[in-house]
Amino acid sequence: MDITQTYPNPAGHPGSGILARLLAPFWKEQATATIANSSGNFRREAHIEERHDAVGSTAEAPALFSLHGIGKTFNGGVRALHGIDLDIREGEIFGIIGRSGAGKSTLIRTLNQLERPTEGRVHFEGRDLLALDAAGLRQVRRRIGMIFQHFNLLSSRTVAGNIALPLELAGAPGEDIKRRVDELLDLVGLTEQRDRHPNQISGGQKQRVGIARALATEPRVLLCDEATSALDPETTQSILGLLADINQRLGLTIVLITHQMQVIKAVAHRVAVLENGHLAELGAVADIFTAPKQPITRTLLQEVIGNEIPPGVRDRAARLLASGEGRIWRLGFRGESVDRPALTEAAERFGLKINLLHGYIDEIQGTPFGSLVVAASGTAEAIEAAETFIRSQEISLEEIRL
Amino acid sequence: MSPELLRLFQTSLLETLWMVGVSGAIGTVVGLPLGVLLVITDHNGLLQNRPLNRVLGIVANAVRSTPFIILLVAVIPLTRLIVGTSIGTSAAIVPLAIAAIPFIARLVETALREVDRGLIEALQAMGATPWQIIRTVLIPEALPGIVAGLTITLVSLIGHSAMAGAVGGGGLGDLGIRYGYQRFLPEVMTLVVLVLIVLVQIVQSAGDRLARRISHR
Repeated sequence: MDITQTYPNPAGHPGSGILARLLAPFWKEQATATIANSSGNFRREAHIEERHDAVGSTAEAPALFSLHGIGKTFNGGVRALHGIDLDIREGEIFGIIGRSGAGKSTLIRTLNQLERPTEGRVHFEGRDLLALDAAGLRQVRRRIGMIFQHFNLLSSRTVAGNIALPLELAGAPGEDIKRRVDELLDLVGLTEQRDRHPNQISGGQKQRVGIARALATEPRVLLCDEATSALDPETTQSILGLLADINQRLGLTIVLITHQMQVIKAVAHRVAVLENGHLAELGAVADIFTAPKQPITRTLLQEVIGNEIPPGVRDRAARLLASGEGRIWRLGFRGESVDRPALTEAAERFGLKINLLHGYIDEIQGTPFGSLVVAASGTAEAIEAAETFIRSQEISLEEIRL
Repeated sequence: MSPELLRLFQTSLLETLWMVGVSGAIGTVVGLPLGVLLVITDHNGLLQNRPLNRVLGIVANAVRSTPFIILLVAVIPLTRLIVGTSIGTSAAIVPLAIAAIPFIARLVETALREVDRGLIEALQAMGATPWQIIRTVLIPEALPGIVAGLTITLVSLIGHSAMAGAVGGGGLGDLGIRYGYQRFLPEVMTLVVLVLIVLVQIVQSAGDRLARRISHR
């Protein structure tokens, strides 16, 4: 099964920016209440509320995490991260992608200080995490949920026992734990498996337990460390669907790291591309997909969209070029420009012959995007004029030289 | 076998069970925390403390490398201090417990090291204190291994208790030496050995069964 299915983009909902700001004080208040839980006064009305018009990722949403000049050098002298600057906004699904060894795992671990950066600052809700003492850090960590590639469930506890664990650690009263565990089991669809042990359930179910456990203390953000990398495509899709659903219904910010572009394409709103510990590229997923700037991004995109022209097509293009005047264009469409008959218009207006060589049209987060490789033949002036015209139609145009 | 000898046999069996049981219990009570300490004070441990770790490790190794028959007599002054006498069954418990403590500590240490680091990390990410991590992850997750280690300890204590005769501790081993060997009563020796075999079998299979029951790996 294809895992590239996309989920509706909350950012696309009209007015979500305003909503984000309206809801922001509410979220803050809720978070404070969660901190008070640890002193034994566990919030009784705590339950999962449905918010269909939840906070999406918008430019106006406040930053939940702010990273400034994050660097990490391990004891052995290995530099895993170099001067990373980025903001993670409230309500968004923020993806971090890179090859293995790019430093993405180290980076996500600096967000809850499982890894302490050797340079730079990490701010969470405006507070400097590196300035916190052990007790302060523990309080903050209860508001940052995390799930893992290998699930990290306790084999000694049942499904329900695993989900109850963070609540027990926070000192919640027994009946509250029980009620909350029931809600979470329902949320992740594991009510039937509640009394099983992790070794009796499937990988996908284990990750659902991991998600329920991470959500138990009502965190403001969920960190996903290669959460789907140990799962088959079908299960990956269902876990990603669950994450997207949680993001929308609860307005929960999600940070996920992955080496699979499909994962980014399926759920992320914005993405950071890491290469050798450096931030290579950062932007909205649709932008990164339609106009990748760095070679590493193009390479990573390769697995979802065939950006490279297949060799057979290349040969055909070369033959076309050899037989006369002409250029090979790579055209990038996005959003409404997909529906615009710009190419036909250009052909008619400037008397060009257009040969379609290669192409696709797809959709990310509800935004259609596509890429076409065409051979355009005609006079040099006509081609120049057509290029100007096409660019004016919000279509990116790049000449490919063979 | 005479009724008198049978009674002696019964007494010896009870003495063995008493010595092994009590020293095993003391060994667990002291050895388990020591094993935990060995793990958490080690490099990258929850409460890293290299000097303490080194000292604990050296002491544990020193006790474990002392042959038990030497330990038995070497700790006599301590035994007298604790029990009031240096001879008898209770007096034999002191050296047995001293031998059991580092043995258990090392086996517990090994079991705890088997616990996936990811689990500890998951708990840290939840904001758990080191003590909460020990209590909810380290010990419960290592419990099958700890039970297996305690089983091994009990079996080896049964063996060690045979030397308790050296300090008048009695027990089956002592009976076997004094009656079976020195008075040349091979049937006593045979019976002692048979009973010890059965005892070890019972302890081992009970331990195995318990470890299997609590393991959900």
